[in-house]
Amino acid sequence: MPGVPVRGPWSRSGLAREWAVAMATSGYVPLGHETIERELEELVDVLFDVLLAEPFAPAPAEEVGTGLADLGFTTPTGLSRTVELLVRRLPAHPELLDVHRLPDKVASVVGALTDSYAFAVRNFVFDQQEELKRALLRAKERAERQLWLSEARFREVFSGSPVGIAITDVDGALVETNWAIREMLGYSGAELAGRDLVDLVHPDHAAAVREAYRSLNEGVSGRLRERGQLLHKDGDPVWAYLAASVLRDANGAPRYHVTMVEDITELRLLQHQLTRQNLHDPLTGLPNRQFLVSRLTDLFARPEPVDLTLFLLEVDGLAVVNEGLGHDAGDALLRMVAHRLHGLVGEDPRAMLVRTGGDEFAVAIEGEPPELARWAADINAELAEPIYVGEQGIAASVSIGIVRQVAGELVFASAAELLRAAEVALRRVTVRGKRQWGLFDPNLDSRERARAGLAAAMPGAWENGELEIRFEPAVAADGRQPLGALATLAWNHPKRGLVRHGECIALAEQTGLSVPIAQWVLRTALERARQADSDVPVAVPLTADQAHDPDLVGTVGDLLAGLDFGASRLWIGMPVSALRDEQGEARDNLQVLAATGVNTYLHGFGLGYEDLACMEDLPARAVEIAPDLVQRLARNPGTVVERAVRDLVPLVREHGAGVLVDGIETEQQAEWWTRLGVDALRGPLFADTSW
Amino acid sequence: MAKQLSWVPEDVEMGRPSAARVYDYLLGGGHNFAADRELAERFARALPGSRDIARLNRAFLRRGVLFLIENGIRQFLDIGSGIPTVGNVHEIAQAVDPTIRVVYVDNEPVAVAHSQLLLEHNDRAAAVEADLVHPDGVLDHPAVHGLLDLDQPLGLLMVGVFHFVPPERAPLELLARYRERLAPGSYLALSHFTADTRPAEMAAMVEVMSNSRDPIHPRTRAEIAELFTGFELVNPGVVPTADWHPVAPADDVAGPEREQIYAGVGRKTATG
Repeated sequence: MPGVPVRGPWSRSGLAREWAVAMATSGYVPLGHETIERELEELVDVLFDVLLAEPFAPAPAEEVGTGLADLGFTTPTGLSRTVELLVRRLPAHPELLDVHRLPDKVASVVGALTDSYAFAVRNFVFDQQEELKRALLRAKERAERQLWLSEARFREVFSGSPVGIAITDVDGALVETNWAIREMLGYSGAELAGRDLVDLVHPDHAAAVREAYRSLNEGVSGRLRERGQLLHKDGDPVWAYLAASVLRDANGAPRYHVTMVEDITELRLLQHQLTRQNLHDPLTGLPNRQFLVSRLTDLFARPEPVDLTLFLLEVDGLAVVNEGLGHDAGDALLRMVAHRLHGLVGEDPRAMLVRTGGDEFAVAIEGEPPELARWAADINAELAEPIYVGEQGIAASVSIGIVRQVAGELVFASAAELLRAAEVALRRVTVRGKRQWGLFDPNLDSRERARAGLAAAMPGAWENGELEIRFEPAVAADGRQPLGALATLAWNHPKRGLVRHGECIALAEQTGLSVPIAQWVLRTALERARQADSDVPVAVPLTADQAHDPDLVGTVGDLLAGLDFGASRLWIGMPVSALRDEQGEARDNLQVLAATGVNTYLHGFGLGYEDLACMEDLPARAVEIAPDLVQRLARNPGTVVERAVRDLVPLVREHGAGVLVDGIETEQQAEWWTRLGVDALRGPLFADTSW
Repeated sequence: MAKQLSWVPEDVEMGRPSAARVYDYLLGGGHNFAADRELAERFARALPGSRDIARLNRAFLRRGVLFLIENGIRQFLDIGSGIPTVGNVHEIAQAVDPTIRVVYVDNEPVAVAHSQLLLEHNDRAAAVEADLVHPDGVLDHPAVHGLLDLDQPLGLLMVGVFHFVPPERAPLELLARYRERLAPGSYLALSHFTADTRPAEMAAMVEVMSNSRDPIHPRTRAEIAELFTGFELVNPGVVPTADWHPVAPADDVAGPEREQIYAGVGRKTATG
């Protein structure tokens, strides 16, 4: 049946289908199964054409081998499956039954097919290899170009950078250096090549730098940043900032280091100068308070307390020199003090001399302190030698506050505490006078602290109504009948209990509260007395500030008028201390008040001739003896003071003023003063007036 | 200059065997070097049926791409594309629709250069050198931006590549980052080696690859399914490559090698 198409498994398409399955599993071709079948069917047709052709010529079968390879069937399996299939199917194929010498012809056809297939696959692989090589070449070219570009960029940076750059191998030997680093260190490139980078580092820093590179190699740290000193060829130190990173090969092993070196010598000098300016006093060249605090803070940072003596020296009377001779003289004096103090302690490595403030110097001595009294005397002896400013010879003296920290005895929590203690000691000695010295007393300090705490709490207490006005009676010395009521201030402290008038006033004066409180006392006292069902005289003791107040007369006048309070019922007391001073307004105030009909008296009256002079000069109707004097006489009977008092009272009375005694605590005291002939008494012995 | 260059590290070694060329060899390709063929032979000895595994995986890629095209995808990002072995995505896709755009991504410079040579005259396909483990580096690559529109659905292909991602690279977070940046309606087609079957042979193969530039990290079926977090898996889910939408008898083999690579396709939902 030549030429007749046959269906079913023995059809040409059936063979093609079978072939397609065999080929598809021999390797991957990116074609749909139907496409493969269709393509193979064409090849089957070619084979049949060759086998059926007369005369027989196998050459066209080569097309089939090439065709298979072109379809992408390129595996050895593909060939063997093809041969196996064709050799089995073709000789028995119904369509070819009549072909003469069919097996020979099939063999020839398969031979031609395999030849061409092998040739085609060989070329296919050659092509692919060629393609791959082109790809490889291209990739390499690109990589090299990128390398070249990055190299070129690096070169640019390397040679143009003002930052020194050194490339070293892992052992630290210099492979390459740029201009900047050669310039910085004074070597030529040839001189540096092969040298150990660490040799260029100052011996003090070499070990640290070497260690840093080692940890860089080991990958402990990714980058090195060190500040250190390098050595210039001529031996000068070069302060530099080193930043290094490691270059690793493809396997991650360190191959080179790139070290950037920035010369910071100039920067360091500038920094040093700035630091010096910040920590030094320009007038004397001595370190300043900042410096002292920072050094003391360092000392306090040590694990064990350090034995330490701090002297705080205040130049006596600097203001007098400044005002009297001008600030140039004052400055010269300060320079002189600085110079001489430096001569005394400058050579002692344990001592530090600083100027802590305008007229204040400090000397801190670590370890065993000098003998204090001797040292203070030496200083003042040294300063007593005058210097000349123009024609004027001036000399200085200092007051010295001293604090000692001794491990196991007295240890401060911080530098600030130590300084504060020295200031407390200095303040205490300056109160005593000039050219004094004193050691800080922690017990005294704690009392003062308590007092300061109390003073600080006073404004709040006033706000909260803890302050009140109490009327204390003044009674006639003979017969003890009430003569009048004294308005006093009292503080019902929730912890301390009652704080009495004198202490209240003293506390108020520490805080600047004294004027408003005193005003409040005056006004409230008058209001309360006005409301009370009585016309007993009322006395209000003023503070010194209040006595000097230029508005005092107006204030009192307004109050009297506003409350319709008779001037003659009011007694205004002024502290005699305020009246001794002829500068203030107090004397005028007292005279005007007296002229307006208000009774005046002097409180805090003592023994000095000045007190008597006040009494003589001023129209005060009475004096009040200070409670200190009462207590002193009670403690020390039969003394000179007692004799003076005995003489004083009659003198006052002879002058025409009444005498009131404050602070009577016992019946004995009351009787003693009564015998002396005073007019009135007051004090804790007598119960408060109910209003 | 040569002396000055002395400290510069030696050139990257181009001749090291690469997984891409091993794959090419197993598929019957000629784009490989002696070192690749040597490694491929050791690979095939350790894991019998390697040629079929490669072929089935390649066939999955073809079916997956066609499936995505049927579902409207017109742009593809093929990560880990390797050597442009026969049957590349752009060939498959552009045969269906010449306007489809394809970007190939590989981290192997030779494979990328090769792909670029192949694509020189194709202005709808490009190949870039980038690494799967840097999602933003891949997605923000200028060539990706030039050809693909990330605001439109795309087909993200990770066929036979994710098993190169070691666990310490946080595979889930990596995929999550890709997912975040894809438009809803995008697809992920992924296939991945597993040691669920023939663990001993797989261990031997992993050992063979352990010193190559591309060590392999097989994952379990559950782990592979988890990679599709945020994607809605298309039926039949994560299955052996041969079982994913087979169309012809040649897409399958009888032996255990048919289950050596799992494959799946997932769709990013609006909320995914």
